Amino acid sequence: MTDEPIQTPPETPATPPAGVGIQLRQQRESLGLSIDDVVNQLKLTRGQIAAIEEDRFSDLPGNTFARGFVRNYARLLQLDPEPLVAQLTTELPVEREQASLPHLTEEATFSIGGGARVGRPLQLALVVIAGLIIGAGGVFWYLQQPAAPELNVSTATLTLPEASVPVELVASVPAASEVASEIASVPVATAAAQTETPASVPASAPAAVGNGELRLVVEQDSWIQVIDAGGNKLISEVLKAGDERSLGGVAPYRIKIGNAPKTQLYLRGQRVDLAQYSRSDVATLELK
Amino acid sequence: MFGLLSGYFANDIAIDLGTANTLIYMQAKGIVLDEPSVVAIMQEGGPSGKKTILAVGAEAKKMLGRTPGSITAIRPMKDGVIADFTITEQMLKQFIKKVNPSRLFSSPPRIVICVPCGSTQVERRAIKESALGAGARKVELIEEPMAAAIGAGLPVEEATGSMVVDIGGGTTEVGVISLGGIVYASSVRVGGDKFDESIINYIRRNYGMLIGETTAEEIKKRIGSAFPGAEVREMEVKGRNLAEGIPRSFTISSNEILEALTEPLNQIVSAVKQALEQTPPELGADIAYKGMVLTGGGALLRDLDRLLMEETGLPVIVAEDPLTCVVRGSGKALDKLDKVTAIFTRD
Repeated sequence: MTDEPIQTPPETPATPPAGVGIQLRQQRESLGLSIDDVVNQLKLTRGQIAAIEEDRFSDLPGNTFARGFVRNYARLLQLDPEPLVAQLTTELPVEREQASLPHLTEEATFSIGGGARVGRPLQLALVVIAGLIIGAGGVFWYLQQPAAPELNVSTATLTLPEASVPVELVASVPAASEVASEIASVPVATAAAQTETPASVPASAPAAVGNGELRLVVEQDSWIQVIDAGGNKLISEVLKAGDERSLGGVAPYRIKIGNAPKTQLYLRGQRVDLAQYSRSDVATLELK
Repeated sequence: MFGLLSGYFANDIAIDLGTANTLIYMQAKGIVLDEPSVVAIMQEGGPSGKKTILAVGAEAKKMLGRTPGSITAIRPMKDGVIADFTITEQMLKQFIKKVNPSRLFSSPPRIVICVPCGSTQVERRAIKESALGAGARKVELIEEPMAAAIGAGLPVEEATGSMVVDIGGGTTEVGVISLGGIVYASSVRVGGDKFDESIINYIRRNYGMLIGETTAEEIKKRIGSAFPGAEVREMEVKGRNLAEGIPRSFTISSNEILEALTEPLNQIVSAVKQALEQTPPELGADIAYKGMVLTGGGALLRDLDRLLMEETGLPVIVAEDPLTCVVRGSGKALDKLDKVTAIFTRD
C-alpha cells in the first residue's frame, strides 16, 4: 500500500489498451500531480489511489466503488471517464455473491401477531381451474349420453292422458293383448313418431302391467323414496349397489332419488332420464 | 411447463413514484416506463362538470404552464408524497395499464412501491391505497434510500455501512444501511424542484425577469453546477420582463446559477453532515473508507459530488445511471417479495 510498486516499468505507453491504472498514472504524471494532490481532491486514501494505479481493484471496497473511484479520478485528470470505466468493467474481479445476510426461512422466523401469508395462490388457482374443466367436461358428457331416452319420457308423460291416445291407433288396434305384443316388437330407439306408440299404448291397459310399472336399478348406494297417488310409501330406503327393485301402485308417483347419476329408473320398461330432474345429484320427479 | 405458466401469470412490478418522474420496472423486462409525473385534466362545462384525463406523462408535461382555462396540467406528487390522491390514483392506473395490458387469466400484479423515509404514516397509507385502487393485488412499500442503495449496487446485506444520498425531484434522502436494514435515515424536502424554484427566484430578483419552471429546469441542466469550476458557461434565456411586461432574452452564467443554488445545496450538505454525526462509529469508519453514493436526478447536477467531497472530506461517487437507481433497486427487491427480509417497511 505504498508508492513503491508504482515504479514497475511502464510497458509500452504507446499501445492504448494498457491497464486502466497505468493510463491514469501516466496522465497524472503528465499533469504533474502527486499522489497527495489526488488524495486531497478525491478524499481517497493513498492506499486506494495506489490500488487503482496498480490495477488491484479487488483491494477496493467493491466493484461499484471501484468504478466510481476510477470515474472520479479520470475526471480529475481531465480524461474521458467512459472508455476507462468500460475497460475497467472487463478487468474487475467477479463480484462476490452479495448475500451474507442470513436469508431467513419461514420456519426460522417467529411473528408477533403475524399476518396471513398467501402460500402459493398460483398453484391453488391452477388446481381449481383444472378441477372445473374436468367437472364441466364430465357434466357435458353426461348430458350428451341419454339424449334418446329423454325424448321417450317426455312424449310418454305428455301423451299418457287417456284423451290424447292417438285415435287411429285405438281404431286400428282393437285388443289390448295385441298391443302388448306389439310393444315387445317395437325397438325403443326407433323414430320419434313411432315411440309414441309404445309409450301411449300401455296406458290404455295399466291393470295388465300391474305391479312392475316402476323398476329401479342402482349402480351405487342410493336413497330412494317412491310415493304413489294414494300416499302409500312404496319404498323409502337406501338401496345398495347392484340392487334392483320393481314396484308399482297407482300413478302418478312422486319419486325422490338421492344418487340420481348412478340410478336407472324405468317406467313401464322405458328408461326415465333423471338428469333433467336432478339438482346436485338429487332427482325429484313425478311420473304418471 | 409450470415455469412457463407462472411466467405468464407473474407480472409483478416495481414503481418509483417520484415527484418529478414515475418509473416502472417489470420482472424479466427491466424498466418499461419512464415518464414525468404529470396529468393533464380537462374540465367539461363549468366547475361542476365532468373531469376527464386528457394525457399523462410526457404528453401532459408538454402542457405544463401552457394550458387554456379548461385544461389543467397537474403534478399530483409534491415533496415526494401525494398531494392529490384521486389524480395520483388515476395516473398510476394509466401507467400500469400502459405497461401491463390485462390478459386473459392474468391476475392483478403485486407492486413494490417506494416511499420517502420521512413520509408520515398517513402519506404512506395514501400511496398504498392509491396503488391498490390502481389495481394492485398486494402492495409492499420500500423506503427510498434502501431502494436506491440496492439499485446502486451497494453491499446492503453485508455487515458493513453504506451511505446513500438520493436527491430526487421533491426530497433528498440520506440513508445509512447495514445488514439489509436502515440504520439511519433522514429526509429533507429539498430536491430538483427546489433548485428550479431557487433559479426562478434568483432571476426575478436580480434580472426582474419571470421565467417558467420548464425554462428553469433547462437552465439547471445546461449550466447548473454545485461547485465553482474552472470554466464559466453561459446560456441565453427568454422570459418576461416584469417592469415592461414584454418577453425579453438575456444571458446568464453558471456562476450566477451556483449562487442561486447555494441555499438548497446547503440544506443537502447539512442533512448529509447530520447523518454522519448520527451514524454509529463503526459504520462511520466504513463510510469514510468507501465513501457515499449519490443517486437520483439531483446527482446529475454538475460537481455536486465535488461539493460534498469538499464539505465532508469523504469520497463521494455518483452511481451509474442515477435516475433509475431507485426503481432498479425496487425491482431487485421484487425477487425478495416472498422472503422474509428487513428491506420492506411495515406500516
